[in-house]
Amino acid sequence: MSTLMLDRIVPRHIRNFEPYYPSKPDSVLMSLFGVERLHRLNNNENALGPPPAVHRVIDGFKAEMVPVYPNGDCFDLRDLLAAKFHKTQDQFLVGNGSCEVISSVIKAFCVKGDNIITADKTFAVYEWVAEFSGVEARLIPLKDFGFDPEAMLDAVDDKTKIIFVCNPNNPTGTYWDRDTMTGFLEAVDQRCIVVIDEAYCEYVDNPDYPDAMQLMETFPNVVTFRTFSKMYALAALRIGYLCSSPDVVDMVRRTHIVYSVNTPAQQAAAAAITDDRDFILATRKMVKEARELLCPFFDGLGIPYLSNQGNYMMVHVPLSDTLLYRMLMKRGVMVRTMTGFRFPNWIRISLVQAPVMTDFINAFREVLSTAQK
Amino acid sequence: MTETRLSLDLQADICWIPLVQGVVETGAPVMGLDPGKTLRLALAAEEFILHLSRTAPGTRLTLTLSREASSVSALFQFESSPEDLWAMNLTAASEISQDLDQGMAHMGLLLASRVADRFSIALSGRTLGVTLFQDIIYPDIEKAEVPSTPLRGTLSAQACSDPADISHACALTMALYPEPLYPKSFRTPGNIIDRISQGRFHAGLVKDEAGTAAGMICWQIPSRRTVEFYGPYLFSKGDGIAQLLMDHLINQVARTEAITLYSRAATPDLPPGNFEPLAALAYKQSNGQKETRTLWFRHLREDMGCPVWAHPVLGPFLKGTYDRLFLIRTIREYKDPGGGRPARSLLGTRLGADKQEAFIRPMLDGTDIRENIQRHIQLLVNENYLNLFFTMDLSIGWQAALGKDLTETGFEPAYVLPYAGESDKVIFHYVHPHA
Ligand SMILES: Cc1ncc(COP(=O)(O)O)c(C=O)c1O
Repeated sequence: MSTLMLDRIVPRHIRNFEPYYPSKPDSVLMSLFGVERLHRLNNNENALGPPPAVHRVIDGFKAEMVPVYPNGDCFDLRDLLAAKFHKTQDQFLVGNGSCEVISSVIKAFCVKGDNIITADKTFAVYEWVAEFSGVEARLIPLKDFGFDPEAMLDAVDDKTKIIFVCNPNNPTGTYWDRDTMTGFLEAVDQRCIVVIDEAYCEYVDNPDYPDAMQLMETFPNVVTFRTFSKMYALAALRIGYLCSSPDVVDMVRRTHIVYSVNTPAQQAAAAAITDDRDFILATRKMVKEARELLCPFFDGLGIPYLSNQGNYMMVHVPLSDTLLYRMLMKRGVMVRTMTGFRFPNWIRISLVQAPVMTDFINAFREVLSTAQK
Repeated sequence: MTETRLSLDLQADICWIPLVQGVVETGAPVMGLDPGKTLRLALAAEEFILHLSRTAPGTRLTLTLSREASSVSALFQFESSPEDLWAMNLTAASEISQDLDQGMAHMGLLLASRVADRFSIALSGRTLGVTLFQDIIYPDIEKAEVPSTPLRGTLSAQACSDPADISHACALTMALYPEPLYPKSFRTPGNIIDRISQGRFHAGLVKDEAGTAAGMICWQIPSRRTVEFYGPYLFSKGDGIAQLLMDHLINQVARTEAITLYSRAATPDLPPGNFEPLAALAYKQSNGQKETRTLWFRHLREDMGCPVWAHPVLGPFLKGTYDRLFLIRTIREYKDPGGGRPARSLLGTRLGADKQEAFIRPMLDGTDIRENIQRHIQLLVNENYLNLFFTMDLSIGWQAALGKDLTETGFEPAYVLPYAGESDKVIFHYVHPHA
């Protein structure tokens, strides 16, 4: 009898990598925790749902369309994106969520022995993809909850291929203003690719917020990531994209899987950006109102929090975040624990409609008084 | 130090005994074992082969001698029925002496398990693996003088593997904290240093800008999804040292497979708000007094719930515990499916130094398990062990089914350790009937 010698055939960096297990389906969680409704405040989703034009696309999608492959490289959508951002089609690459383009970029530029640079407390997928690809992830500690440009520059060496800047950062909501970003890009001086992940850019309306779409005109090494999961509420369809100078995109295209984006996703994304102004304003208003409810509430309790950009905020709770999670789940409220983001005893809450925020406030207050007994 | 190993394929036959002796006697010293312990390991290996030659002559087996962290071990792998291992029970000696004819064949196994510092048994398919361990002896250190120089500049936490730093931090801990609050191996830091160099033990230090150590936290990973920590140990007064140590520990283990972070002997310097009390153990001391020890734990990520097996007698305890800790568990009653149960069980026993505690772990099921538990209790109580613990894995049906036997023989469920097995483990504490 022969046994499968996994030790011999699996590379060490894969064996040492900790697999990620996503949470169970809502229906399972609800039955486990014995609740009849669940407010999902854990994934920064847009609770308003997608713009009206998307409803029409989804409702009109017929079973007859299922046997046919989607367009392999999202031709129509790239056309629309090019027009919207005054670019050319060949500057865009669409993926099965922006997570997929993270992987394509790392594959295109890095081999074993190279490194990428990002922060220690940011969206984890840059670090994960690097690690399971055998590429070193240099994690620079945040400074005052924001990315630290000097320390990141100090970490660059001739093996550095990509720097990932999450702007605004998930989960702290901090961002580099235009001067900081421009100064950083000048100092990098085209030595490597700089990815600016703008997953939450549509939530920011500060005048000093830099737009990577413009920066790439001056700095051809800039790549921006955008997603339809956050503002446009298409998370279930899995669609996101990158945009950069044509030469950079031409390289990434080689490592990017074609046909990975399905037809309803392509059509819904196209519909979402066609007339998005009012929808974006309505979403921002909802987020602003949620902040106006939560900030005074936490102030009243003397609980520290970070309320910056994006459709989320972070709260430093006076007990273990994972215990708070379990207690809130018993009351039908799901938040994100931050220990896994290296912020022990912080939670992140998605900012949604006022009635749900009120439910959250009531559950939080109850849980706190139980825990403090 | 790298991991070294040596292996030999042979048959169970007394003609190979000199070869096995030779391999252990020449191999173990190269791996760092002292002459006395080498002899004991050689004797244990010899007795083991002798036992197999008598009970199952001709069995093919592999002997692997290896150095891992702070011990040298001899692993025997062969196809056999696990039932033949009953003589490794701590209590087997009296049985063997009562029936010498039947017992002689098992004498070797008994000797092998007694001469070894520890042993473990693993069954994979029909292949049985029995490992006999001898621990390396390390020199003792003295308690350090506690310095009075004030700390300078900002404090920061970092992973520590430097032998001098570790040794000094252990000596400071011994000077500042009473014994149950740090592992015995702090007295012999060479052991800790070897385990750190192999990734089996971890330490984090908080230092000031001049490099002076202000505190230490240590941890190890006893099972895939648990991390056990020791500390925090503070060497100077200073705001936030304990929290820096805690944050360092949590951040180091937060993105691993571990779910449960716990301590059986956290110091009073544990900063509030990070942990949940798991249990308060009435720990019996040599002066007859009971000391209450609080066990602390926290999860490192969201708890998604899991099923556990249980005997109905444990129902109220488990339900109470899970409600108090807000843990989501589906409690399934284990019913003995009947049939196929071997006659003789095997319990593994780990004896703590100073007779403070003994840990019993069920290794193999058998229809005699209740009597076996009783025999173990009797022997350990007669030998004046103060605290007896029994660990039950709730993901293993036959272990969960022991609930009734345990409560009826004087054990009480003391605490649940979440995710210590595939699901949770329950740790039972023996309550002396005359206490
Ligand atoms: C900063 C950031 N980038 C990328 C993503 C991934 O988004 P997508 O759904 O497009 O894969 C997320 C989602 O949480 C995010 O927070």
